Amino acid sequence: MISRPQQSRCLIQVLKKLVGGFCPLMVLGCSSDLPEALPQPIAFSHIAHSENDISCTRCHQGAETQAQAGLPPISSCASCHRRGVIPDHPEVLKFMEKLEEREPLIWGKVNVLPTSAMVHFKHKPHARAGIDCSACHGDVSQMALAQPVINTANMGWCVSCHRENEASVDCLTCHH
Amino acid sequence: MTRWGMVIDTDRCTGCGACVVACHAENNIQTVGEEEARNGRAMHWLRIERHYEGEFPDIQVRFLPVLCQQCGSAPCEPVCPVYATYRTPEGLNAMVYSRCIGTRYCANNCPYTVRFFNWHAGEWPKPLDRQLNPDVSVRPAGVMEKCTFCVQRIQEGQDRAKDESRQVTDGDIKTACSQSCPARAITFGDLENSESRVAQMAKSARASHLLEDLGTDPSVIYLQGGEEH
Repeated sequence: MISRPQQSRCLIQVLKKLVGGFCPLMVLGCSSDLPEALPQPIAFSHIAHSENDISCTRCHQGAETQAQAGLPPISSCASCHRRGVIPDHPEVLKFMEKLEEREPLIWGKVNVLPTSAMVHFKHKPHARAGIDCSACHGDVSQMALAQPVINTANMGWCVSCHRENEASVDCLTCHH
Repeated sequence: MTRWGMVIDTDRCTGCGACVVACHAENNIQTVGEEEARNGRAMHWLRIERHYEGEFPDIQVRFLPVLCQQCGSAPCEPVCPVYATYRTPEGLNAMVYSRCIGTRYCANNCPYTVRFFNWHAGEWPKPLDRQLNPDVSVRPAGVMEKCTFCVQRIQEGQDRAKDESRQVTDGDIKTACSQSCPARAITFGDLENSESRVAQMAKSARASHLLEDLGTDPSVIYLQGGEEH
């Protein structure tokens, strides 16, 4: 099953191809021009993990308590995979090798805020307000590698949600 | 309503400069070097002015910490062509770096000369970059900057209060300068809350504003004289 954000992403990609790189929906302020997903060190599957009832916060532990959601160290992947959960899978062997060498996995950042905007996004207040992860990240549980579903450079997208939820729309809330 | 304010007791200030150092560390303020300082481009969101009273040898030095006065009627705001500086609902004189186009009108119009232009981007050669405060933007070249009343600390205090399902109470939030002042000359708080220490001190007969006759309605209040120390 394909999720709605992915559907719209596909539609935009098709439109872009049709009109030679320019998406007419861009004019309407839609989430076009999404960055291409970065190559990742291993082919991590979010679907496989969510099917096994592993919640987002099990690995992204800061999502509810800190500014940054964060990524787990390989040792926490190993805590399951060493104990007999597909230990011989080629992707598992890849990071187990890194663990042996005591080297980290360098993940590609999926959602990048433009540095020129000088935005200080914090996960914690959003989680506290009951905003679901999928509001910004899409239904990652149905994605293999995580893909961006919104254009993080589009401030209007943030502001419209802040307005709907009566959150602060003062510039200093995010830009300081 | 909230109006963040600060009370500085100049009779307590010893001019040690701890607040200046704390401000630099907290807010990722660059050091420009000797040559640029000679060009008048030194950057200190908070500076300590020295004033000498009396004739030698009967001389007394007075120290005056000067920072953005977060004016209620700020001369810097109406001259900005892009609304990069404006008054927030909490009484701060905000500076939005990503909006600033560097006209420098605001600095020219500030009677307290507390706005600083980034003629060059700051440099923090490794490993000094590790000292940067992640909650404060590192300003690029071409934008104006100034004291923010440590807005990141205000937000952190409000966040902590929300976590504990309560209102922000007096003393929850401390700016870097007030936290580091060994003489406790600097107090920060909500001027609208009549119970707060700053509101109490602001009522003192020793209280005054800097360049009061300009009508800028500053949020920084200075205490001076009237008591022996």
